[in-house]
Amino acid sequence: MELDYVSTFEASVNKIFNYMIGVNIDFKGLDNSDESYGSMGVAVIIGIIGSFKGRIILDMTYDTARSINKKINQDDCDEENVLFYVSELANMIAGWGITRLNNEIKGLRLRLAPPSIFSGENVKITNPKMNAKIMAFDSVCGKINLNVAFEGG
Amino acid sequence: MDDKYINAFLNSAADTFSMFGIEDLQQGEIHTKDNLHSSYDITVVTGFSEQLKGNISYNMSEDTAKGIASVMMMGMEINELNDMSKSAISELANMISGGAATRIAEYGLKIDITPPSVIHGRKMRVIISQVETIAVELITSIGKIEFNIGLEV
Repeated sequence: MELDYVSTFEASVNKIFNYMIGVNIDFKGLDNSDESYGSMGVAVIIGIIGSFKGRIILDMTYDTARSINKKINQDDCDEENVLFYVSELANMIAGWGITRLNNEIKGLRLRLAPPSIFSGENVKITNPKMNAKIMAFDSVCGKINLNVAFEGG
Repeated sequence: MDDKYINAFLNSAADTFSMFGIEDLQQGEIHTKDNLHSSYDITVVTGFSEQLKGNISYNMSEDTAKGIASVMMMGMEINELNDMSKSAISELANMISGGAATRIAEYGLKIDITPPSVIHGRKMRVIISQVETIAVELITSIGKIEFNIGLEV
């Protein structure tokens, strides 16, 4: 059975950005990706366990991360806190998404690991045996990708 | 962090490397991770969830990653870190994390691990946990691997 999750996570990004943190965001399209994904500069990875195992990546440039942070906190802050706030954002998006999937599909029991954050140059993320769907968004702070993959997908 | 968690990973690593004929392992430095900056080009991260949450990362140089991939692929010469060789090091991380999870489960904790993600980049800043992260070096005949253990214990 393949898990149909795209609309759920698209709704999750919309809800968290537009309604919870007040950053205007629009869905721009869906793309498929193979095992490797090139990050824009800041990637938060959250692993998933349960009936399906996988991971979510919230990805953006560092400038976008900083801009989002300024919108939330009304002020600039240091690199560590910029990355921390983006990880919290990813956690909310992932959490809302899997809660809704768990409510809709009996016995799914998806659970999240805590977020891990990677920032750097030419960062490439590889998940063997997984094919991902990349949801592209545009916001007032910059472009954002939500990359979701499950084993066997 | 209780030594039993650190030892679970080190013992699992010893068993896993032994399966591939690498016996002479030495523990190097152990310290609390206190800055974001990673001196390694390759990180493989697996997440933990259920009754024990956190992330573990296995950090190494590109040369060490190629050496590990070569050993796991029966001595095949590895000149570049392509998707096949990343799959091999991902599997190594999966085996070590899985073995550690089995050991930790013996303490009565229900625990599961997420699929690994291989992150390859330059000048990387990495945060795998919001709690204390312990860095332990493992010195092998094919290079040094730094384990970063960030568990919410």
